Amino acid sequence: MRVSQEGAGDRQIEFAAPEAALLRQALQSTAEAYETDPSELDPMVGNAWYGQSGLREAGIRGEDAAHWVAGLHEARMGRGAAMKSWLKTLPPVGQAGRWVLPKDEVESFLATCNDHRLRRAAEFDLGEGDLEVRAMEKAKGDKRIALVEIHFLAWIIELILHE
Amino acid sequence: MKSGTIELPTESPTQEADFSEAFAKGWRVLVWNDPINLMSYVVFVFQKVLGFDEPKAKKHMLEVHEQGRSMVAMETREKAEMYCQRLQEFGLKSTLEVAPA
Repeated sequence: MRVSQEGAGDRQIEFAAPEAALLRQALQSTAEAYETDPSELDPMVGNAWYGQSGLREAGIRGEDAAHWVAGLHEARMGRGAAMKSWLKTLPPVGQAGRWVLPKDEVESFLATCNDHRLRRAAEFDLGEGDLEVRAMEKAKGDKRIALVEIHFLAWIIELILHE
Repeated sequence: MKSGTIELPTESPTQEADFSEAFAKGWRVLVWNDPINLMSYVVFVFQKVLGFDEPKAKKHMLEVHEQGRSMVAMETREKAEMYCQRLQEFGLKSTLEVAPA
């Protein structure tokens, strides 16, 4: 994968076929999770995205807390239109290719990739130790897939931020 | 109530306290360490949401990383809530706290 910046600030990303497929899969599952009502999410994921710790201490309770969560949910669903366009324009499954991320969508893209990382880590209750490369090599099954996605999206985020 | 006069509503001491508390810049926005968010991403979010320049964003990111948390703003309640919610939209662990009097 290679990331370069065009004059207008758009990012051009060159994907190998498996990279594009992995990103597509991550975006599709995160789009579904964004559409899900916060109360229906896996509680660990709900806590990572819509956690209310710290709100009660600040006097934000009941209706105010519900309003707070609704605001966070709305912000995430607001990324939906951009996500649909990313899924349309990414290289087709099984193909390598170049993809352009418009400058004004960079922020949403990074937040979406980060949300996917948070969600997958929450699903498997992953901590700092689990994120070491050695731990990933030892992991098996779905946990290993989650770790691969988490590291892959970290790589994309780093490349975009440093370009 | 006396006839021919209008009694103005009076604020109780509690309401006055709530009012001054909400408008005093006594609300802290805290960001807490977590193992998933990348350091570079946290710096990016601080710049976007809080308008920090890069050195200030890095300083606060390192505070979060090394000390477990950083106070990134001290504001009125409304503004502090807005910052806290924006930081949460980006997936950062952010909370609000009233500064001790």
